[in-house]
Amino acid sequence: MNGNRKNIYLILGLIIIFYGLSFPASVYDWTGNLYEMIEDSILYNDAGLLLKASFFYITWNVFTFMMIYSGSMLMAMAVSTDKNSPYYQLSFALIVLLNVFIYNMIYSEHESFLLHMVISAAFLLLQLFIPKQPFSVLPQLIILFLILVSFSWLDLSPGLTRADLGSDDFAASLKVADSYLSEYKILNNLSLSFFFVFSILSLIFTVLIYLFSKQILTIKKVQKQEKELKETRDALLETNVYKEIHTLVHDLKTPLVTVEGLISLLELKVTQDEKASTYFNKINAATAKMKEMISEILSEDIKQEIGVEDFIGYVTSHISFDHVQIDFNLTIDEHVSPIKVNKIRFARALSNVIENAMLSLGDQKGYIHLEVEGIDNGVLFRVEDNGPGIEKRNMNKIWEEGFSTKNSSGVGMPFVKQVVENHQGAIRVSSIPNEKTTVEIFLPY
Amino acid sequence: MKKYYGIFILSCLAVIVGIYQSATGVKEYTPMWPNLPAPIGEEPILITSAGQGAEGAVVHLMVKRLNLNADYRPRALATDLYEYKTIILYTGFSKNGVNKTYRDFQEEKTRIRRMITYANHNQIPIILIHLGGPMRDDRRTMDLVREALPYSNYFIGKRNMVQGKDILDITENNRLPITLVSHTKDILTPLNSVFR
Repeated sequence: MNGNRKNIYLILGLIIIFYGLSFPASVYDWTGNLYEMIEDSILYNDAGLLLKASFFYITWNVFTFMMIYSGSMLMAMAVSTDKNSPYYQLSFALIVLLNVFIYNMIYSEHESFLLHMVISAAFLLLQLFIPKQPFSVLPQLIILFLILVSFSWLDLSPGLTRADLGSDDFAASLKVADSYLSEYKILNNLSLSFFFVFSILSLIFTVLIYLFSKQILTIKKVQKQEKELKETRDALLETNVYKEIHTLVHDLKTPLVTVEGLISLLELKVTQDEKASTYFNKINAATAKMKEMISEILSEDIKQEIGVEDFIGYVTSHISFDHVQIDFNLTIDEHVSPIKVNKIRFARALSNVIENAMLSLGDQKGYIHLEVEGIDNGVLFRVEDNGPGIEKRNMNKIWEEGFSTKNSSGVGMPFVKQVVENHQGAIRVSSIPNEKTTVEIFLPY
Repeated sequence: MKKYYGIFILSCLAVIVGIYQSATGVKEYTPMWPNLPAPIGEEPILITSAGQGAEGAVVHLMVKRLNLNADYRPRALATDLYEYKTIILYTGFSKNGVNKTYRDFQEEKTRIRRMITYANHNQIPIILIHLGGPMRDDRRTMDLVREALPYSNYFIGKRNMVQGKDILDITENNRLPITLVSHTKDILTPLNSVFR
């Protein structure tokens, strides 16, 4: 998790906790009415009024602590986002208890630490069953709400007063009123009933969310497996295609040998004609070239020495620069020594880089600079264009097979990298979006 | 298993705190009176609060049930005492109750101190009632009890208070009669014995 997200959780948590802690102060008038309601329930011997006051108290209590707990949850997430981690769990409990302490200090209250320990433990336990998914915060908040409602009712249980539960002002006042009105019968029944109802609701809700998340996870797993299967199938298909091409190229050798043999026979027969002799020489040179090309395609390790200017000439002869909008500029260092490369494959690699630059420019006006310079122990090929460039988030993906932003096959750059590495070279790509993109290929001597 | 570590530690801590809370305090008091053997108070009576807790309404109703001539004035001052012959002071600090009087805790404490001084000076008996029991034995309520109890003439309270030992010590040291009841309505008998 990056620092920025941590800070956001921390600040957001603090803000929510601040609202939670200041909520009772902002509703002083309303809570004044609640206090009067409790007094009136005694004076008028009105159990209905006591019930109403109890519901108001629970609402007020849940609202206050809902904010404190959700703020604490966010702050604990700044420590660790992993809900299964003891660091997260203990941080959450510690922040909650610290806030209960602050709350008691600010409002001269007597909120029970024990109750909040139990609430924290119950919430953390149920939280373990909510898998991490998008929008999983909402079910967590609903569970927190149900737990808070259920345990807030325990605050009103007279039987638990000895364990320091419900010693805050309103809870104590309500219990004192009930001790006179019904000898605790009303609050005992009410608090335990609501506690069990809301506890069961929170359990049922957690189970439902757990099962639902499991189902989603299973669907996602199946989808992932299907995707992997498709990728494997495609890869297999691709391998078969390459194998067939390889076989076809290999098979070209046989007719070529036949042509070569027959040409030499013809050459023996037609010895007097000078013009024919020139043609035979040209045919021989062409067949030799074809044999050489076939060999280079079939074996990556076959390399030949070639002058840089000849090599670049060979590369550019395969690319059409008729595009009027592109300004192609070529600079070759005069003192560059000849290079030893697999001509066909290395030329294809460099063409790929130039074609990518052309593709990125599209119909827009721009430039492509191809620069070749000799450095200490090798040659540096630099292709620079001023197209839209590559976004930072995609920079690492360009080496992955199948990645493309232009709906192409996405094998271009991985192929370039593979060829360069086969020549013990190195490739580096840098881009400033909408300014320039530079591809540098270093080839050692 | 690691994912349960935090919850396990927290649960153990909660159990320890729970056991500690339940175990503290004195549950039974031996040297106490079921009610006063002879009346010590006379009418008219002032019922007033120390801490502005809602339990004042309960005391007021109890006194009414006993058909005693009493005024329920939770915010009464020392200057109001001249017309009364007995004071019933009920303790219980309520933050919301005190807020309603536009006073703070210290001002409330000062008001009580002045009333007690006046009552002692004029030999007006003070009956101290603490109805909150374990629900109202917070630090501030106990401050008010300690302020008033040594100068009172009779204490009626509830059993099972966490701070019960302190109260017992003060009553013993000041040779005060004390009655502790289990249920709220049980205070009718000792209260009646104060006047009849």
